[in-house]
Amino acid sequence: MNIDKVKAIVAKTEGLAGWVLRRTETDATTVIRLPGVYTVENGRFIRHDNPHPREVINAPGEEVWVTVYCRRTKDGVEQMGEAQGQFVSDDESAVKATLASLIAAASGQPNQPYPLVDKNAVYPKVELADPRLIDATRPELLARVQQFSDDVLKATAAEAGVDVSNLEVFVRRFHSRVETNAGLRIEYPATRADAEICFIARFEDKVAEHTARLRARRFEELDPVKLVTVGAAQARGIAEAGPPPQYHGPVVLSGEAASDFIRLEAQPLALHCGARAVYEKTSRYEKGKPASGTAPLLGDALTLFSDPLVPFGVSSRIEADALPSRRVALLEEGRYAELFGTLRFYHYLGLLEQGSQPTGYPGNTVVPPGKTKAADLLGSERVVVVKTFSDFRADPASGDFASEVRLGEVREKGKVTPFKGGLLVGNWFAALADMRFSQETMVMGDYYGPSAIRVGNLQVAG
Amino acid sequence: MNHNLPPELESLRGFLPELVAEAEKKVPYASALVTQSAGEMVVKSPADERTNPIPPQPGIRISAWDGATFHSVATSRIEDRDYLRRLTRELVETITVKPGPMPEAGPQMDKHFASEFKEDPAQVTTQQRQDVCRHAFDLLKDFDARIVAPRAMYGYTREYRLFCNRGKLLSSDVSGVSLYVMPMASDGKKQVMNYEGFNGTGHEASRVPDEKIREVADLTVRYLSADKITPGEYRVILDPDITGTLAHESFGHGCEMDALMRGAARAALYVGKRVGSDLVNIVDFGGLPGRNGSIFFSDDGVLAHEPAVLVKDGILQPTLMTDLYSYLHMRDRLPGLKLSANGRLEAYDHPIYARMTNTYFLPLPKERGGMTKDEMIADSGDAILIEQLTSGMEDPLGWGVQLQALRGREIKAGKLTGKLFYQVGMTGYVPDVLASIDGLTTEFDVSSGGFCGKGHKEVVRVSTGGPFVRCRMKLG
Repeated sequence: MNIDKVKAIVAKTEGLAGWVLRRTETDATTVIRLPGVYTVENGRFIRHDNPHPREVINAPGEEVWVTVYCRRTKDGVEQMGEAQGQFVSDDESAVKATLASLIAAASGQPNQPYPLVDKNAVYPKVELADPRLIDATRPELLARVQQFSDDVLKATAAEAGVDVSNLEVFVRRFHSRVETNAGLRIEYPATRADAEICFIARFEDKVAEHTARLRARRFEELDPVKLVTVGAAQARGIAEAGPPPQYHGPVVLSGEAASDFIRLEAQPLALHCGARAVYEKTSRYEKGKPASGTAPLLGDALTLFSDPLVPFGVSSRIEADALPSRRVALLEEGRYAELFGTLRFYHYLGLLEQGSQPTGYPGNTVVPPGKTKAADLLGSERVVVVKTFSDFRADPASGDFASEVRLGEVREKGKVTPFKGGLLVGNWFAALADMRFSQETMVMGDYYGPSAIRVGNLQVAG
Repeated sequence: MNHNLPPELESLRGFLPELVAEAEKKVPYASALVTQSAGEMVVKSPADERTNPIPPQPGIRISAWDGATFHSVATSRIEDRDYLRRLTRELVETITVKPGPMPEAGPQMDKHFASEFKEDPAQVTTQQRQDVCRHAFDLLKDFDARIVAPRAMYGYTREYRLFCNRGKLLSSDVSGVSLYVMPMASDGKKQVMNYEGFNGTGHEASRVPDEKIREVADLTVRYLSADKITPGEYRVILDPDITGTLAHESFGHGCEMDALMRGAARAALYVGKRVGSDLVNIVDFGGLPGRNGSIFFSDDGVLAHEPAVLVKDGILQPTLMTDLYSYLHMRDRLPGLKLSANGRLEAYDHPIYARMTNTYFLPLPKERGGMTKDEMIADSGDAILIEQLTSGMEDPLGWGVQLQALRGREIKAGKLTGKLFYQVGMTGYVPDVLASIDGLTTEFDVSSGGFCGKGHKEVVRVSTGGPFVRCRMKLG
């Protein structure tokens, strides 16, 4: 598509208060392997080698999107609206038809006016592209993917009783060009190297599966040996685990469970620290007040950043709708600090006028290390350790959660009893009042923070 | 012939056989799939009203089978014929055909399908959609000052699909209309949320009586004083959406052939065996008309005219849900296996997997002991009626299941006490849960909207439902 031709048509269109035009060229390679096909004979799974991939997909493409902003005065009141659409052709009549439908949609919106990104915007330098992926030829890329999957299978072969049942590798390359009516123009590349690997452990009549979901921007962050060691251990642990206990007391969240509990995607801060929610009065945010409420702080106070500027971070971004991204502290020492939000809601709340810069959308979740060694978080009394959830989610409004434990342990007097199932029950905000964080940190997807968290009092409904 | 498709798709439909023929100069089987969307979304919240056309996001995927592997190329550039010809040639030129199972193209067929509705959503104006949304928003806003964030959404989607192999040329035009109301309430200390969705194929789905919307608002306010349930095992009555999701998460995902063939579904060991009480009958059927998970044909080109009966009278059946790849690899190993209309993809550049469509428990006829909802409550002694699903998660190998719902209603001595529990988690060991089913109602409600992922990705639209079901589960 001739983007300059499209841009010229957009720029000449009447009735627009502003626009953002984005072209993204993409090139994706997906390889899916099922290394073994299973049949059932005499009540047992029998494995048959399946050396060929299930599917190889190559997806070159190009997408051109526009966001239009319209203002109008109705009954003496200024109103503003926006709409986003996709151009599928650079044919002038098609571009104009798309713009007409977007203008019609945006013009009828009765929202308060808000500012748009101005020409003085400065974009942060954030590394988003692995040069070895972005510059590779397609055969080189496919060979790289093949090598990675071979390395995973080779490393798994050394793990007793564990197989890879499914291996999916997704490599994507992007080149974005963003322009606005204010004359801003930015171009940048980005890459993703993601994988989903299912490990199955089988010991006589015990069988369990663990799925490792790996997200990165660089292949080198997907260490086949390390991820196989961790994934195989998880699968073995689930296979050998017994039924869940009934339990009320301290719980240590370890590894994946710690990440799931804290990262913005699954917990309620994403709602409550959003400028939109504060403006709509659906947030419990009060600047400077403890997020845990009135309960006395018994552990470490949580400091948490939404940081889209982490080099090669999965949720890193240079801009969103042409708005420069920035790092923001949502909680500082357990107290509400800043908000994330767009120009619009920063303006509605008067934050722009106070000199604050909007942040754009949530970035990576970054939590500083704690003071306690992970081993010491276990303590000496009876404690439950949760390693993985089936799908941790706290209710975004109340913070209540009741999430199934995929793999946990009861530790008591040196004895470790693994379990699976049961619900971990509590309230996310209440938990903040009594948390301790490990000195040791980890990177898991878009989470950068302590690898273990002890919460003083939660319940396991077994 | 005019199929009432957008002009670019109408024209592309006639071109697809050329691409398939080009690919089959080199490989024994090839197919082409095209997807494109249309529609409009209106969302209203206190600070924002947004109207946005649904972007078309067109894409084509050309797939070639070499005897063991599908090789596919996918692109958004559907308008450039020369480019598509070149991609097709490049796709097949490096393929070496291997000995292996070969797909059949099926009988010659050229068909177009379209959703049926009472009020054509394409004839509804943006203003009318905005009016529906604003009215629902106002009803919520005016109900109680504690409803601090009413939110309403009108969605109109049009999903076009073209499929072509050397035998079939299929196209479909699936329409969906939904009205969602999502109020959030606060008393200054506690925030709670609620939602209700009304789904169908035409604009009539959005004609929701005011009283229904006020009921949603009333429940939201009542959540502010609701209790947390004491964790433990309870006798529960599940509403039809949760019932269907129990089916979906247990022997839905557990009967997807691509999970079975990789040894990741315990169901493989139980074909022909009892997996639940004899009241348990679970079905997946994309051809059920007008539901959120309805399709006319799968993305492998299989017509959705036959339900997949997964569990019959508590016995797991061999009629599993297949995609073309899993069917090809397993048909000689599992006698009686059929290629079902369950091969689906999230988007044109994603893989096709065996996926569910509309998954449900069959209701129990009155003559076999089926009750009304009121009769079931009266018959249940002490129990919890669980309503309004928020999410579910499967574990086809470990046979765990996790369901989340917005509320539980206390039943004591066969009567609803009026006591509400907010945010209820349900879990259990699937065979135990299904074995504990001792009552179903005669209703059959498959009206939910919703989406399903394979694990945490590959999201497709689905629906779940059935009757009210009584069983035992752990709550928290």
